[in-house]
Amino acid sequence: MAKPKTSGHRLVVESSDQISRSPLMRRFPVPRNFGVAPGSRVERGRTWPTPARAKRVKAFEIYRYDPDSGRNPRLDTFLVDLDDCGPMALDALIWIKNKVDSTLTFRRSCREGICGSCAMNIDGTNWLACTRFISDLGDPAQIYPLASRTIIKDLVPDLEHLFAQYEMVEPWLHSKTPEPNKERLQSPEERSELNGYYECILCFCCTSACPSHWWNPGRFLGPAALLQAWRWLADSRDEATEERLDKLEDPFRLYRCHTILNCTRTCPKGLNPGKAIAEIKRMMIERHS
Amino acid sequence: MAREHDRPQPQPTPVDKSPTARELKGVIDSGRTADKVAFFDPAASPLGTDDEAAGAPDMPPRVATAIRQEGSRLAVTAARDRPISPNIQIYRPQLTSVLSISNRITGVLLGIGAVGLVIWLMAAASGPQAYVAVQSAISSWIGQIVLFGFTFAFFLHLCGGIRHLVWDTVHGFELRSIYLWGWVVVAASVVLTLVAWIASLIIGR
Repeated sequence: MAKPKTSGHRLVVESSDQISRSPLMRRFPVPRNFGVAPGSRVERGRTWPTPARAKRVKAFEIYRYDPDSGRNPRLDTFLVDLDDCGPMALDALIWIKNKVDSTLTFRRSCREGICGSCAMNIDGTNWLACTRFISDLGDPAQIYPLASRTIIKDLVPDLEHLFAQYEMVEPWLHSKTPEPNKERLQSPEERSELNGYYECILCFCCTSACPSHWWNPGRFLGPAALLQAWRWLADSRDEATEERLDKLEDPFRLYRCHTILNCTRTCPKGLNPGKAIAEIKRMMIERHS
Repeated sequence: MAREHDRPQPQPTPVDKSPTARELKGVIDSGRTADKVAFFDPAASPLGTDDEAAGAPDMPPRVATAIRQEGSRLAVTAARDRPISPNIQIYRPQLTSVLSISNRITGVLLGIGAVGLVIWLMAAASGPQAYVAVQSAISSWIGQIVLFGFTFAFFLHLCGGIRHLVWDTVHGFELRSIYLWGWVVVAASVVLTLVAWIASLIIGR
């Protein structure tokens, strides 16, 4: 199967899987250690040897952090034999773990974009390593953990806080009416209201791409949790709309969203957290008018 | 006669004496490892499952390791100063974030520019001398460049603000619209700035 062309520079991006590599700015013009605590500064790491008898080699710069070493994170360079490795970024990581450095640590499970485990920052944007082609990566490819998270080891971020925020929107059905004897029915139209929201796999690419969440991780719920909040506000069977809105009506929890839309740009499932948040804001206004 | 403390003390039972996976599960389920949820821990299930399936007993050292890790997990989290992964230092600039930060920066610049506007009006109100002084500062090279930048900031902030108003009605959230209208905002700001300056030059002549 021919791979659809996804890379190259394009002005108008039409779906989140399209990669646009502007030649103008690779990164924001801020110092490398801008606002970075001393213990979080990324140091230069080692360059691992070139694989023997490799014809096509690609360099991968990978963020490493070993909690047992007591040292700062560092950026290691690995050279991957492309003829010996699968096509996706995750294949490259697995190849490195098998062939070069078995201590390289990352989460992965389904390798088909449905579990959300291998979410990481690949060439500057968050995506799933299993659904990103190596051929779409720059040279050297740069792989960091999800942005702005405390790091447990290498590419494994601590997601506990994000799941606590998810729990805060109470992502389950609230009902006040007595439990019916059969299923709670929905019309096809009511069910279609959930399309584009129920598919979230909780990879947290969006929340970790959100500058507002970078600056206010403790008080702003972030796009992933708010998309889930809307998924339940939009559910015709849910009967706690007022309580849910009461909980969200806060200068930080909801309104720290400034519609930057990095979330919608980065969602590996093509969902629209930015729109979900706008829907919540509109619902908030409508209930006051 | 040997005194009390000369007698051999009872040694604490070594943890790897003969713990089994089932014992560990019991420890976890009873909440002694300070697990957050007091409930059967599915994560403990794989431990020893293969051994059981193979008809071999659980391997005590492996269970001991698991017990040690379960017990020390919270202490490790609290004690260690983990690093935070980089954000703005590495995250690629995109039209979404660049226009957002531009809207912020132009907002701040307009706030500063408003002070300049007030100075100009005060000068005009306080007499010809003060007005001429301010006017000559504005017509200088630097003054003109600043004024041009101010005009561009004004139009970028205006167009960006309109884009935000449209978003508040929950329209234009498809990625294609986000990008298309983003570029329209950039282009419109450039065009409006040029139109304003050309118009003012023609009128001012």
